Amino acid sequence: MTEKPNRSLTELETALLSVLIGKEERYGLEMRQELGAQGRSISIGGLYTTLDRLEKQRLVTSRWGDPTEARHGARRRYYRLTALGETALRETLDIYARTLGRARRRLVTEGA
Amino acid sequence: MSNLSKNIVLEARTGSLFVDLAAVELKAAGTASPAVATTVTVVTTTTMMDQLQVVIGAPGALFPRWLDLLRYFLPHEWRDLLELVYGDIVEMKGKACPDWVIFVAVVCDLALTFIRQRWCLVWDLVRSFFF
Repeated sequence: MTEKPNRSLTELETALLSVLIGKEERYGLEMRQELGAQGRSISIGGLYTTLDRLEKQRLVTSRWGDPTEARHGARRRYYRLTALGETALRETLDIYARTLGRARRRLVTEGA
Repeated sequence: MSNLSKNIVLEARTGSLFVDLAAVELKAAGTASPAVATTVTVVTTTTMMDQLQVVIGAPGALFPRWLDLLRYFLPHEWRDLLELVYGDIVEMKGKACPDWVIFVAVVCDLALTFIRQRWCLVWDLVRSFFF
């Protein structure tokens, strides 16, 4: 039986999981920069606490990289979307699509 | 076996070992401050702990002193977050960036995260009470 996510995602969670689609692994700064390019700013701590929450819900997995000199000896943490995360993302996007579709139809039929 | 070896809590990592500062008695090794040894590299290790030899200030240990102090005082669950925030800020700003700028950026980011988390808890409480 396929496991189902137990809740729909918040807007930030949806954006974060979307960044992970189709990529093998990505690290926090890379994800933050992509969100920034989409016009969404988020604090670094906020990014990692959200990713931590998603990992606890098994929507992403992560692993530590090696310490690098570019980070003064700090390590990167690499994230990957899980199958459960992909299901949660699909379901949330379906909800968005239905809501937006309804709103658009209403605007056309009842709008000024 | 020295006090240093006895009190070290080691956590295996690739190629190096990480020492929990809270558990290290560095005075035994003649080091004045616990802030200099976040990362140590094991030079000689056998199955016997008393033959464990560590080198303080290994090439990977580039963390500034204030970061080690912050790590020391932060709750355990925030230590990984501190490393990630620090690493990202250094990578973003480049190695030439003055240390104090990185310090301010790290502290502000952590403070913001802390306030946001606590505010969410308060908001959830208020919402569950009134709505």
